[in-house]
Amino acid sequence: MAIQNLVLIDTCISVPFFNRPHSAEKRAVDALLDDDRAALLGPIVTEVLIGFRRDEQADWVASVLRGLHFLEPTWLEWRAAAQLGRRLMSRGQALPLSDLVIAAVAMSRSLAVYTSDPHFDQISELLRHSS
Amino acid sequence: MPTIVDLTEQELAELKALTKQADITAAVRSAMTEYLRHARRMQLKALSGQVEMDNNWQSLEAVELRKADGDSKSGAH
Repeated sequence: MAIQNLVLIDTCISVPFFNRPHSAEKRAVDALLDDDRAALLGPIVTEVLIGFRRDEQADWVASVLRGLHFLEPTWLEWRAAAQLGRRLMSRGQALPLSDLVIAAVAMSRSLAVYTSDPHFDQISELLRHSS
Repeated sequence: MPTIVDLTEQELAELKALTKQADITAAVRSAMTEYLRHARRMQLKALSGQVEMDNNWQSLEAVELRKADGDSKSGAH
């Protein structure tokens, strides 16, 4: 598996994936899971698990999410996230830390991001995965 | 925890070739790890429609951005 083929699945995609079994997002993530191309970062895991109110459901979801690629940001990627945040802030655009890290890791490793979060529209150089 | 598994020479040879591991222990461990990852992904697919995820990611992000904006205006560290 070439690391470039991985796709970072953003939190916003998890909502239709879990809640709407017939959605386009579910079909797209299924294809990525079948091909073992789905990847996560720590902040995404946390955001997804916050979305489950019952501990036993969150624990079960956490267990199965271990089947995806888990990427650890490097020191340079955290720095790149800060640099991106400063650049956007200077244009009057603020992004949450989780989105900055996702974008920095994706751009540093030439990965696509699967997201519907409009925050990412502010980063024109980001590679996006489409369903 | 140690365990004993009876495998044929052909199974071992295939396992080493497919996992690209020269060592038998590493080959078995690699195969097991890959199987667990695969099984978890298939279970994740089956979870859709069985659990309900709150659509709260936007409000969480909005809280973070409002907090950051407030801190920067007040000069807080």
